[in-house]
Amino acid sequence: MKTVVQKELSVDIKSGRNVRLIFLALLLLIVMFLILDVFLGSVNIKASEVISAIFKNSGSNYETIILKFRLPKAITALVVGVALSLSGLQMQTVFRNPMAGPYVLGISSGASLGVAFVILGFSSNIAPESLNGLGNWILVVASWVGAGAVMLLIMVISSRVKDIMTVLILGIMLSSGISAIVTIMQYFSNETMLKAYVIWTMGSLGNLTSGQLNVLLISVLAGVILSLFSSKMLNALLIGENYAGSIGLNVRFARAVIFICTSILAGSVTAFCGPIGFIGIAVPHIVRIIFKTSDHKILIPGTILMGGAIMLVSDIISQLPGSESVLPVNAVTSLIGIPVVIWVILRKRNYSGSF
Amino acid sequence: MHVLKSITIIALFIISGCRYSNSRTADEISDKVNQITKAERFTLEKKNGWTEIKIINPWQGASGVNQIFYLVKRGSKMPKLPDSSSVIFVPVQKIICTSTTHIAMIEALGEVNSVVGVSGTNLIYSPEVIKNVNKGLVGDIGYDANLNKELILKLSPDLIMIYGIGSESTGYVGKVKELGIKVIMNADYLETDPLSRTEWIKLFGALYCKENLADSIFKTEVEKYIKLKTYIEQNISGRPKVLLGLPFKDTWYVSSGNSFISKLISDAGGDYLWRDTESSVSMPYGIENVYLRGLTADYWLNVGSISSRNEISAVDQRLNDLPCFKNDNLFNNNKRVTSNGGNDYWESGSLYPHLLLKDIATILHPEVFKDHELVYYRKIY
Amino acid sequence: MRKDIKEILSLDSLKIGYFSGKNENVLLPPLNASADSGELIAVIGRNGIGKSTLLRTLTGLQQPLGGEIYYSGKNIREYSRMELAHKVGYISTEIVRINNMSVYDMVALGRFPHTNWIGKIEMTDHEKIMDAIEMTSMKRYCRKFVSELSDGERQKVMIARILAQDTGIMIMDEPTAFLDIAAKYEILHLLHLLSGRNNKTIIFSTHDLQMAISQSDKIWLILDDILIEGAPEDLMIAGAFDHLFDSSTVVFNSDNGTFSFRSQNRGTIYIDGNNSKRYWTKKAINRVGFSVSNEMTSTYIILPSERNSHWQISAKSIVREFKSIYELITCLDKEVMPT
Repeated sequence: MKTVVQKELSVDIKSGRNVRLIFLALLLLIVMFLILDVFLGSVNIKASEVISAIFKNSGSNYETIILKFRLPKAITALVVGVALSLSGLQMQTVFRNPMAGPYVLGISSGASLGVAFVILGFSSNIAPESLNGLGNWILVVASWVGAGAVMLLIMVISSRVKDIMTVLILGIMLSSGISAIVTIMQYFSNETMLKAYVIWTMGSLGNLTSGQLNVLLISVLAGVILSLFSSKMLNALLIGENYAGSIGLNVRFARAVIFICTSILAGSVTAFCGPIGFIGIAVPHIVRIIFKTSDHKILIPGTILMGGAIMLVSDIISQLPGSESVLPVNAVTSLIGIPVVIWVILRKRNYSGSF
Repeated sequence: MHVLKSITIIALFIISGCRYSNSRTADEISDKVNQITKAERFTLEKKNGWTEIKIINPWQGASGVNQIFYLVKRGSKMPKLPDSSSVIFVPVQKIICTSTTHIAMIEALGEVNSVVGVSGTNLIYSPEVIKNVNKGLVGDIGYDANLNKELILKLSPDLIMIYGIGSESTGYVGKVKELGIKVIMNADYLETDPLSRTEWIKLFGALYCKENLADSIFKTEVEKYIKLKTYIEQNISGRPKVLLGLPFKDTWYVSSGNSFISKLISDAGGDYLWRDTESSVSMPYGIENVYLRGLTADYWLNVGSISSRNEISAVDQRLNDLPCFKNDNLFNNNKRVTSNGGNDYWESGSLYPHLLLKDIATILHPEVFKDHELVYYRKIY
Repeated sequence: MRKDIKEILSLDSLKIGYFSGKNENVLLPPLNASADSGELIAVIGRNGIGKSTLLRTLTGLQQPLGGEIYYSGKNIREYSRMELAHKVGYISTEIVRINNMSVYDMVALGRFPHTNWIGKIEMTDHEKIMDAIEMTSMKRYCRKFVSELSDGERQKVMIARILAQDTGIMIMDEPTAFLDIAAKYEILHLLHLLSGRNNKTIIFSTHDLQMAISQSDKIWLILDDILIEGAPEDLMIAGAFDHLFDSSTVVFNSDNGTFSFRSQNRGTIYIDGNNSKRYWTKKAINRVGFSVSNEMTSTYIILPSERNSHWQISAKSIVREFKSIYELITCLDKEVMPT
């Protein structure tokens, strides 16, 4: 028996080595994209100037752009990619649904409702653009309050309802209902307000102050740590809540932890950067395909690395290096994410209930 | 000898007279003030028994779209028209306007009481109209697709004047047209030349049978503007660089070089940082680019709708580093505003561009215009 | 080896059912039953009577509507989820479809109650997992993905998982449902081994009466109004299974525990010959509605013998030969009139 066990373990070690190699490759990719994101941007800055901007304290204009615009934006992109992909992974496992994403519980709808109240709600009384001047902390708080309210509602529903599918459907209905309210508010607005709101929905990575970036970093870090603890629970949930219960998982507790983790991750990102779509849905699928496993001990770190890398790429693309215009980051993530999602669906021939 | 001289003189007279009457007819047919200004989006022709108005390409991106109206004086004999459904009887007694520029022009002609409906009563600056609003004489008909058609019917105007951002705007008023109310799309905001916008007062002149007043207002304005522009050209030394606008998050929508404000700045002796660009809409540039070029700006104008330096910092702290910010050269066009948000810059500004010109010139060249008190602009602290 | 026998599970007036809205839907009258360690218990009852509900309630996945369940003397309510998972393992008929999950990973889930916070598989865990995989003969599929297996193989993996969970009690809802005959008996043999050698208590529901009667230590027979428990043979003697089916077309033979169709009696036939082929020939003529007569009949069958390897029907002195029972019966079915 011992020798057989040794042989099995050596197989494990070999596949473990593969996994380690992939992790290393991903880590390298992230570093590379991070560097690229700082080197490339809307303004054409020569590589040598970038380097001197970082290492020498010349106080040149380029240095300001690198240090005050590009570096914070690159870090934001990394953090956003990590947060959204991780919450997407968790949602897909909990709901055992390949189309689930970080916003499936209505987080982005709740956030958009809060923001809509601020931008669109005060239609007659305040000159529309002056809200721009009130600063983005108001939008952050409004977004968080909206997302938080929806989160609480979902938690209450989840604790009362046994079947996770019901929770999913209720979450989607809640989302749609809130979107309808926002649509009504848009209907009664003029162009200026609409424009401001629509631009919020396009998402932006480059608008955070250092204070805001710190808050975002802390929140996402908290979410990541929480998700590491939930890795075992997620593995159990893969076989369904009934079986998970039979092997000892406290399903209600697991749901609560995972929902809180998702709301911290996705809620913070939406509050600071607006709703950014498709990353949360697409990245977990890519990771599952690359690592060929369903074990969250591997999927979670894999998703963290892959999510960061892909978001960095999206940011690089949205800057349209070489041209002065920029693209909204949401458009780019959709363009990357949608083909992935389509490809995933087409690969499987039987998709009912499995992922 | 005398006879030859007389004949020559008479002949010259006749020839010059014909030329004069020719050019006058030419003026009447296309109503374009030559050389300096040309409103491109409408023509006005006086015909026998009616005035023909043609609005050309009244929305962004339109091409080959003409709207023709025939203005017939009330009580006069109905002439034979190519299309009798496009008749408007003038003078207009009741009008609904969706833009405040229309209100300013109507008020300049003394017909402010004919305004019975607007889009957004809170955006109005004119105290007269606000008085009427408070008396309940002016209704708020809403915006775009959401026009309150029942209220429009109730107000039963002779004419509703709208401005459209896109071709769908024609859809909004389809129902209204069906009910027999005339709809004119006003394209003044699409004119990029400051005086072209002012010339639209002639449209209102025709609508209220006050053509002469309208003409004289326009002529006065043109004279003042050109005089001022020439004066500026001759007396300034150097052209300060000007930055405009505010970013929305990551993106800064930058006015193009062929825009209204860019021309004003140029005429006022300034150098708009993007005066070399050409575009029919604002360009979405990355904040990096605008920041980089903005570092060279001496003055910052039209800073969104903010009223204080703190508000700029609140939008994006990095803007504090711009020299124009540090040097306190911030000016915004919201000096004449009501508590509800009505801004006269957008209302009467395009009617009196020479005042805008003077304001901006005073800002950019304070040593030349020491005595002028800013009308539409104010310094931001 | 002396088995350590103690009562490991007992049901006390257990009312099972479910809530629909505010209404209680009680499936059965209060149930009383018990199980000892090392017993292999088959739960039998007609479809829809509540076997699955009972098993789920015993696992703690569903709340009972009344009554108590005691595991080793302790009320199930006093167990935490994790403690219960150490005691009771569960398999249902639910089909689990996951991509990218290897057989090893699935079986490893059984170690959930035993591993640490991150679920690390230690050497002891690994050994238990491999043991479980070997016991279910799934060794060569170890690295394959569960989604690539057939239904039967997947079922075996689920059984391996519950084995790896290493609980004293194993509750299985139709564990042999998707398996072919060979695999069915393989699993049954395994269960027998586990209950006998490893002293595990195994409670499983099944529709295969033959299997249940022949292999289990105890039967829980669930009828509409009562749960009867006892050794299979006790229940047979008591004729308990007769009430399982109230059907005019199916009859249960208490003497050998089989079912047969109550078909029209077309007559009796005498079989001449007494060798190994008699039993199956008799079964065949029963199938087409004839019973075997003890006395000679005018039409009778002669079994193949050393002299003649064919079956023969003798009717009115005409003897016809048939190479197989198939041909024999076809003729019998079509031509012979009831006497």
